[in-house]
Amino acid sequence: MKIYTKNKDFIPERFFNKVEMNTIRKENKVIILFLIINLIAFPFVVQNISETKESSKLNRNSNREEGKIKLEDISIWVKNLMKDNIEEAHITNNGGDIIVNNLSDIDELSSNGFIEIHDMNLNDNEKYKLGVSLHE
Amino acid sequence: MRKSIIFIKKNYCTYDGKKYDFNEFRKLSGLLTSNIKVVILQEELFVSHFENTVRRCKLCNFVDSKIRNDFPQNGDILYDFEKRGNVISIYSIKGSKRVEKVVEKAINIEIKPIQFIIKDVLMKIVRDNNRNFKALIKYDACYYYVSFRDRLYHDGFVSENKHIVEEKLLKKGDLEEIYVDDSTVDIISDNNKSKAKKVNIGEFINENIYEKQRFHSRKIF
Repeated sequence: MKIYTKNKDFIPERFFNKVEMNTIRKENKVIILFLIINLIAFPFVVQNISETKESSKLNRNSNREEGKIKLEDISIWVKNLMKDNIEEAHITNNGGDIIVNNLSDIDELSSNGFIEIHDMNLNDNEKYKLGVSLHE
Repeated sequence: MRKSIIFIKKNYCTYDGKKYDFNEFRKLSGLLTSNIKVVILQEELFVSHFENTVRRCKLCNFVDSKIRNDFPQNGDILYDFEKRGNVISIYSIKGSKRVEKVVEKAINIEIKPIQFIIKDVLMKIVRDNNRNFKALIKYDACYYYVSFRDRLYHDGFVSENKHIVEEKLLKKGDLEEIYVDDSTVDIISDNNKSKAKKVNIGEFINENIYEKQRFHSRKIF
């Protein structure tokens, strides 16, 4: 639609005022339409916000639970590692390294139902370094 | 959308070659589209020049205050303005009440006094660098004298009477570089005839009004 300027192009004042009024009315209509759309959408938006909040809370809780070390696991580690044949043990988050002197000790650990051996290395002191974790 | 072109005169308007009195306007309004072009005939165009350095964003307010203070407030005047350098020109012409009636139901309108159409046409025809020129044209049984300085409308008059036109022109005296058409060439006095340039402007005016394609092969002078 053509844009008119007051006192320009010989446009009569009454016509200019009419066009201005129509423009204002149209703008108001658009604003009202936006308000109505917002009012209709408001409950859905609030619901979505609360849902996302709850889900983020749950995620945080589950993450915390995952990160926690159970007391039972600690007792399993203690029972199985506090033995004379185990030279050294470094355990963090239910996994780590164990150093043993000979192969019979490795046999004993592998027959243990609680501990799983992932890898095995022979270090400079001719001792065996085992990568271990708890059986899931 | 098709444009309805209406000619507004002092006592009546014409549309599609038919005369309509302003009292029987309802008959006419049914025939018009919402896109209207109004050509104002038989009215004198006035111009006032103001020198001011007002910025373009405040130009509307400046013009509005000038119109309120320096122009008659009878509600029957239409205005236009333009700014060139520091000169603000405010154009005014009578006929607001008649135009308002015609465009009452319109959505898009375009209002043009015949003097502006003559100016547009002459600007295209006058190819030399002459920035000051005058023209005496007869259009629809009415004589229009227009004068431009620096390609800006300077002054003019309108009359249906040939003798009045002659008298007014004699008063003006210097008619150097005046453009005339077939109907007005005989009005210019013998002394000035040699300086008058004859142009076939009538058809170009109609083409400008009806927005037709111009054919350059036509003889202008």
